[in-house]
Amino acid sequence: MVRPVSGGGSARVQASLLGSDRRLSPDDPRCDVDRGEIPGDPTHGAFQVMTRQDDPDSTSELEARRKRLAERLATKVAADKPAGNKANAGWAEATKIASEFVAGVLVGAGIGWFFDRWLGTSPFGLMVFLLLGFAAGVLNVLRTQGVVADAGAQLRGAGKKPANRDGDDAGG
Amino acid sequence: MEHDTVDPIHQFQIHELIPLHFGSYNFSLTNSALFMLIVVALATWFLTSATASRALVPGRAQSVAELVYEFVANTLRDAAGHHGMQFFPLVFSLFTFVLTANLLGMFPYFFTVTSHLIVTFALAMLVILTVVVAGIANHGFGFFNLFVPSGVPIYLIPLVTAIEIISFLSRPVSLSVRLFANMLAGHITLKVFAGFVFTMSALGGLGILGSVLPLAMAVALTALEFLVAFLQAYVFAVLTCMYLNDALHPGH
Repeated sequence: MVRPVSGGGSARVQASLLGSDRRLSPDDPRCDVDRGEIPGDPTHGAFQVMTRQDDPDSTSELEARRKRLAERLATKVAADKPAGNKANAGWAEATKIASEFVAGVLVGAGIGWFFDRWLGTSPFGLMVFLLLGFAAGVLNVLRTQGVVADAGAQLRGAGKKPANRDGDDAGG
Repeated sequence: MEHDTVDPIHQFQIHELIPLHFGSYNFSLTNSALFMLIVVALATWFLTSATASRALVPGRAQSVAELVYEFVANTLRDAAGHHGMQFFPLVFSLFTFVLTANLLGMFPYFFTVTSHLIVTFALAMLVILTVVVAGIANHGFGFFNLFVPSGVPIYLIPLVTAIEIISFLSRPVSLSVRLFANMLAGHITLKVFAGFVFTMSALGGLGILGSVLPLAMAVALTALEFLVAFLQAYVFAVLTCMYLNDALHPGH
């Protein structure tokens, strides 16, 4: 609704800039509404065409599909929103992944070092836990990425997190 | 003196303002501690004075305070559900503290509290200990199912559990390192480019002309740093919410 109105406004401004008279302005809003509907909501127009051709059953199915798609899109947009603008989103994502991975390796190495000091098993504790820490770092990264893709499930308030389970399988 | 003005690391030095020594312990008030107190005082003053009038139609300050409140509340509700709102005071305090500290650090000659690893690590440990305590309080030993994912073959469980525990222990590290590294790197970059302006213009003539380039860069970086300051406070709060979600719903 907003789009045709604003488009009409700009068209009217353009018309007045071009020095045209009032004769054009009744045409403009109609023209803009037509134009606004096609880029604004392409699925809407497509579905209208489909409803004319198909039987009511597939119409309701399509309606349901469209609703589901809209839901998924909404959660996706909500999940993508925190990052602000695009250039900054890349930077935030990069530091996030890097720190997750490095933290896993560091903690693994730290635990191994303490084991060695404690039990005098140098250097085997460090070797084993460094490898485990590496795996944990990879798991962290996979999980962060899974959470990004799965933020919709969390936003919907689901207790279970399937993407996390994927991360576990990948980590194990 | 000449050295100090260009040295990018100098701004992170901690020095004692009011020396206080008890036995072998050093309780001196440092510049870091002073700025932490300023951050807390500033945030408390702003929020209390902004919401003091409780106008139905909020003024400028009140709407900012309400915006911050709504923002944190929505973030927490999205990540941890309505049950997670019991942790709202913690998350709100952390977010306000980190955000105020980051933004206060943007003033020239001010000390950036969050650019020290020990400060951010203390905050992250606070979060993780809350997660562990709340998780055990809510679920008893069921909380430790967090480390034993379901559907894993029995012979892989020791390996997977070890990896899960390391992964869990790495959370405070990654949480603190991210915030600290962002603030440290940002302030060093800013100082390096500002230092270029200083040294180039000291050459005179062509140097003053050339110093326009790093100056433009410093201006652009300042804008970026304001964004990073906000973004990192937000990321810290979001991850806190996600970890708290684990404490409330450990089964996965």
